[in-house]
Amino acid sequence: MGIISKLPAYMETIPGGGILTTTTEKLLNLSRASSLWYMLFGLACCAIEGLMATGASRYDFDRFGMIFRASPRQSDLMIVAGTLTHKMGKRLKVLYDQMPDPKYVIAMGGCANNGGPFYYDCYSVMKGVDKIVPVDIYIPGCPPRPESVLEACIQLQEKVKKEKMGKWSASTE
Amino acid sequence: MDSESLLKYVQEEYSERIIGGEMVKGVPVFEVKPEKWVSLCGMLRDDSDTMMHSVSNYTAVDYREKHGGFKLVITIFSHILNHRLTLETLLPAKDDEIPEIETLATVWPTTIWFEREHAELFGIEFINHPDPRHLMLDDDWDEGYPMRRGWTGTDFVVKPDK
Amino acid sequence: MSVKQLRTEEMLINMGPQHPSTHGVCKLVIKMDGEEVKYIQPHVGFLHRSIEKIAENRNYPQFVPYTDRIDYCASMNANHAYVVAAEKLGDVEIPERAEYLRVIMAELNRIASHLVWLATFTIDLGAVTPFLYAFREREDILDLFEMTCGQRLTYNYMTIGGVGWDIPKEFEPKLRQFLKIFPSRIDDYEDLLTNNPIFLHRTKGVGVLPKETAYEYSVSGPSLRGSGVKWDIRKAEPYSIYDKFDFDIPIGTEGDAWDRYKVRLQELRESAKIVEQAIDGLPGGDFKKKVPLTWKPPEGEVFCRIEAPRGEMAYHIISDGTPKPYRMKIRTASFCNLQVLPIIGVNHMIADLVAIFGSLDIILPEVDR
Repeated sequence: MGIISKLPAYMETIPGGGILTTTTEKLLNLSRASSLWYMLFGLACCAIEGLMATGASRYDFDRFGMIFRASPRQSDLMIVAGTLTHKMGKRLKVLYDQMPDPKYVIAMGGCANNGGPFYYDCYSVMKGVDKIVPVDIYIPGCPPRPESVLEACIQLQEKVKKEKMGKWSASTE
Repeated sequence: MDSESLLKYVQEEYSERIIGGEMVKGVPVFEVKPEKWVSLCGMLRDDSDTMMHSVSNYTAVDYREKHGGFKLVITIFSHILNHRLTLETLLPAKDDEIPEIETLATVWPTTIWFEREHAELFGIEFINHPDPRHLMLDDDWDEGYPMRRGWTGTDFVVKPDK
Repeated sequence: MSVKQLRTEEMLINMGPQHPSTHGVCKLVIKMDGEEVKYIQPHVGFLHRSIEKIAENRNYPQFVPYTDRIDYCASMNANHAYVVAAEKLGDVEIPERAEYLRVIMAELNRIASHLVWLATFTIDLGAVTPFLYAFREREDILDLFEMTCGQRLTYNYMTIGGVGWDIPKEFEPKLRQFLKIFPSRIDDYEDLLTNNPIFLHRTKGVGVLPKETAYEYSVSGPSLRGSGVKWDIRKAEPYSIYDKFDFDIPIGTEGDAWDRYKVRLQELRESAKIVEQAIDGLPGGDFKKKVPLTWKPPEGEVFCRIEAPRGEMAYHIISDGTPKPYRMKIRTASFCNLQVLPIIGVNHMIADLVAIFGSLDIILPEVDR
């Protein structure tokens, strides 16, 4: 609230201070980065840490402008939290395809990165989410702490802020 | 009923249906003839002295090398009388053979899922099963029966380097 | 056109596998007549991680971390089930302090698990406040776990032969402080929910589970006790040192979702009571007995069950005398509890189905393993 209530008081004293110049790209990226809505994609253990504990009052995900959506069609970000099996892999691809561009993926935890503890001797676990969808951020840990989920989101926001405007419009054509 | 008297009771009452019974770590364990498997289970459930109306666990074990077949092991218990016992039966099978046995779903409906799991993971066929679909594996799974011993698996099973 | 001429037909709905109220990845195929559910078919296996196959390729002490991941809401209890079974198989005597520490941790984890249940169940019903309340207390318990074993969710705390680490000095005062405030926090939840008319309408008479059906489907845990069966493995077949503690088994009367809720809230109080008795009686001495990584139990088999927060959790281990198990079967509560959903969920509104699913406290990795 501080910046919104106090900024005009300072800026109006400067001649022409009411006008802010920036590039469209920066404006778009800033607004996109500060309202990344993520899809609830809790698969296993990481869902409790990454989605529920992080969303609860102690870590408070909402202050990053991140709100969970139950539908892929309303979300920009998919946090794959947990072990992905071959059976679920097909469904993950369908859900990813349903998300509108621009879209991002965070692979949370060892299992989503490369299979984690289920890498060896296992016949049903997919060895990493990146086998089927492109991943932007990997979070190590089994499960990662909520702090590292927050750090991953900050990193993702940095990435979004640096993006070129043409990237996503080209991909939709 | 305590374990000792339960062992004695079942051995006397159902002697023609079991092959043998012994005490293993304080729990009576009986070896059952495969053709009497379902009927014995039904009787133990309905008998007012045993009242085995719940299933604690239901396992299939691959004993093809040791005993020449698969073993089904079921642990049943009674909430009311607070006792439990274990029944075992051996289904002869060699190499890639698929053994068959009558389903237990008519006795305890909870075994439906257990049997679906055993069918897909071990390759045991349950006759008259009400819902013979895959449970854990995908519908288009065709890589064999992964829980069988010696199953080498597909290319996505990674073995650690020795 | 009169009402009679209107053509109606049943609608098929796929709920899941990615659905916020299925608490994991479970698919329910539902046939609906208007808003009413006529038929339910659960599809599971989306999280089948072949843990039983992995068990055959790991040494006994190496398998403990995998037990955490079978039931991530109650990892301590899952650890406990495994180590109790393995120790029974190898006749390992453990120090008394370790038994007490195990009971303290298992009961604290039971509280944490029920709090997660309370949070998700109320969110399913549309109440968001209890979620924040329950997670507040859960964080306190996680702090206790973290200072003991350095992890928040998957602890790998109990080992064959004892526990991995002793509790630090600051554990006891923090635990006592928690136990002091916790009963009043349960009162808070009860104030919010127990006699709340909306909550009563959503849960009273919803998803009635008769005693006989519960027996047939081997339902266990609070869902069974909600139907009025006084059955708790901690009392019926005492394992560890549960016979030393004084606690009650709360039971319900009707077997509806409200009864299951009430039983779990009572269990929070009972668990806190056990923790208090255990910390008072905590003896000194060793907390661990060395068991080598290549520990070889004698040939034989063991079946051992414990009372986990969701019900009966059992390990059936078959050993052939080598350092690796010949076969390990893990019996979990949710696997059996989920099977009653098609029975008790029909002839309810679809919104009530969510309430019933939540009240059974199903956790999917337990079903799939």
